[in-house]
Order: sequence, then structure tokens, then C-alpha cells
Amino acid sequence: MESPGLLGTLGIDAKLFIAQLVNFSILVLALWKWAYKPLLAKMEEREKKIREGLVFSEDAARMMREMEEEKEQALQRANAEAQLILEHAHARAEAASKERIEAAKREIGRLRDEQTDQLSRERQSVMASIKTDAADLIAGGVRKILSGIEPDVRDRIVKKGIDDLKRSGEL
Amino acid sequence: MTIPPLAAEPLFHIGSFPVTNAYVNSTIAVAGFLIAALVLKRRITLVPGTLQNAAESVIEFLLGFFDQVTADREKSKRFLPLVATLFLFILVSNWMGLLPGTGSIGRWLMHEGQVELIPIFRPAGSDLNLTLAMALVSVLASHAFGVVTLGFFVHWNRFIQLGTVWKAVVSLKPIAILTALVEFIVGLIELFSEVAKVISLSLRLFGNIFAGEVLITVISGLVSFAVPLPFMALELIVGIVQATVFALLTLVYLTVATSAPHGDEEHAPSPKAAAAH
Repeated sequence: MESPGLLGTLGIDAKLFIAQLVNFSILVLALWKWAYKPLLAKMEEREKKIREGLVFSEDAARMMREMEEEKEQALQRANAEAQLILEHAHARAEAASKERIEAAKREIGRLRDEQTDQLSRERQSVMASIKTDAADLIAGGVRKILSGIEPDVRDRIVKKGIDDLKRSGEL
Repeated sequence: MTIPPLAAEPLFHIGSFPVTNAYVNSTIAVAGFLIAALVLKRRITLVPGTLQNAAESVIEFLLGFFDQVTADREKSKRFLPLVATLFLFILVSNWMGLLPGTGSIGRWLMHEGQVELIPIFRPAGSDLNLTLAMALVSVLASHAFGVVTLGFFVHWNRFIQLGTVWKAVVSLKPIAILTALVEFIVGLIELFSEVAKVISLSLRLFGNIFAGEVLITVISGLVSFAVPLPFMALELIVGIVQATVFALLTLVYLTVATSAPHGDEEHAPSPKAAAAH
């Protein structure tokens, strides 16, 4: 019987060796094409999306912080402006109030002066009228008195009266 | 009790091709992987399901493991198809050898002059043809990656250092010429070590799996119940360890082959350029 030799004893067979080589090569290629390649691509895609998402989220958070700061600043500006407007309004209201009080005072003064003048004019008018009436009454009385007296006496009395008046400066 | 022979036993022949029990196991493992890969391929989505999650976890774990050797994620990704396949295939093949029926269910056939129970299933790693084929693929792949990454002449100048000798001769420095000659001889020895790599890789895996198979057979022959269990548990560990050793050594060969030779780092392509290949 022929000795199988070392390789034969170990079971080395060219056909089996090639078959195992082909089997294993097919396995490597198939797993590379069907498993590793698509899986790695999908994992990279997912990693990229997660990275992009994180960056987007950081950007959004930064933008939100900036908007918050902007809002705070706008509120502060609005508050300051409102305060200013309020102060201006107060000042203007005060000035307007003073002006109106002054105008009212002026009006009151003017009305008082007018009334005083009118009263004075009416008094003078009344006085003049009283004087006229009194003179008429006196003249009437004097005429009646004098009508009963002698013409000489009457003339003398009249003459004396006129002289007295002239002396007193009333004529 | 029959001690398993070194060579896998043929069950039948297709033409002149002997279909052995170890070949049956390795073919079943390959078929299982192909079916799993096809199913996985159809279910790959951006939001992973259970199967994809499991596959991605394995890939992530392996890539992290490879990074410790390559120190470069891009390199790890390039080597993943070969090294991960080696690891997973060896692991599954080794563990399949521990399934009930492996080594015990068989056909009564004439073998070496007498009728024996030839098991239909035998651990795939106990066939030296398979381990040799895988080792050869590993070493040849390391050279292919080396040539693609560094270029044909830079890569082969590691082994046949004619370029180094020529430069030394041109420089006319005796010390440089002597060093170049020593490096030339070392390069030739390196060439032989490439053959040794194939032999050591294949024999290590074959020896461990075959020894485990013999051990389980002997222990089971002596005491059938309970006693073989610790040894089977040990074989589970051996299965992982041998798959890891084979895959890691291949990874080291690939990493070394794609790294710039000593003193030639400045001519080495950048990692991005290397990844572009």
C-alpha cells in the first residue's frame, strides 16, 4: 500500500483545499457586499445625521439665547422710552395746568375790572340822575316858595342866592 | 470509541471531489452566514431593527477592538471585511463542533480497511485544508493591501531589498553597503517568514480544534454523562480564543504590511491617500 506522505496524513487534498479556499473567498466577498458595506454606510449616514442634528440644536440654542438677549434689550429700551414719555407728559401736563390757571386768573381779573368800570359808570349815571332830580325838586320847591313872596323880596333873595352860589363856586 | 483521524473523512464523492464531514460543516456555516447576510441586507434601515442592531453592535465592537491594533479607524474599516469574517466564521465553526450530533451521528462506511461510523458532521477547523486556505487568504491579503497602500516596489523592497543595496552602492560608503547587504539577507529571511506565517496560522487553529475534538471524544468515551461538560465549556473558550488569535494575527499582518517601512516614513502615503485606495 502506497504511503500517503505527510500532507496526505494531515489530510491535505488539493481539491478540498481549493474548495475551502473558494468557499471562504465567497463568504468574505458576500459578507463584504451584503453586510459590512451597507451596514457601515448606514452607520456613517446615521452618525452624520446625528452630528448635523447636534450642530443644528446648538445653533438653535444659540439663536434662542440671542433672541432672549435681544428681547431683554428691547424691553429695557421700551421701558426707558416709556419712562421718558411719562416724564415728558407729566411736565407738559404741569405746564398746561399752570398756563390754564394763569389764563383763568387773567380772565377773572379782566372780568373784575370790567365789572368795576361798569359799576362806576352806573353810579356816576345814577348820581347824575339823582342830581338832576334833586335840582328839579329843589327848583320846583323854590319856585313854589318864591311864588308866594313879593317880587322885590323874591328878586333880592334870588340875587343873593346867585351871589352865594357864585361865591361858593358852584356856578 | 474511535479516535478522530487527522484527516477529515470523505462521506461521498461528487465526481472525483471528496465531500468530507468537515467540509459539510464549513459549507453549512458558510450557507448560514450567506443567508443571514442576505436577510440583513434586505432589512437595513436608518432606524435599525433587532437584527441590524445586533449586527451593528458586533461591527462596533470589532472596530473598537481593531482600533487598538491599527490606531486608525479608516484602516480598521478597510480590514473589517476580511478580519471580521475570519473571526466570525472561525468562532461559529468552532462552536458548531460542540453541537449535539457533531462527531456522533454518522454513516457506517468502509474506512482504512474496516467498517467504521463516519460522522456526518465534524468541526470545520479540524480540517487542515480549511485552516490552510484561511491562512493563505490572510497572508496574501496582507501583501495585496501592502502593494495597494505603499506601491509595488516599496512593499516588495521589504523582502527583496535591491533598492536599499543600490542606494548603498551608489553612496560608496562601505558601512552603508555592509548594512544594506545585511538588510538584504534579513529581507530574504522575512520572505521565508511569510511562508511560516501561513503554516503557523493554519497549524495553530487546526491543532487546537483537533485536540479539543480528540479530548471530548476520549472523555465522552470514558464517562458519557456530566464529566465531559467542563471540557466542553473549555472548548467554548478555546473557540473564542482561537478565533481571536487568528483574526488578531491577520490584523497585525495587515497593519504591518500597510505601514511605511522603517526609515521610509516620509515617502509613505497619507492615511487619507491610503484610504482612497
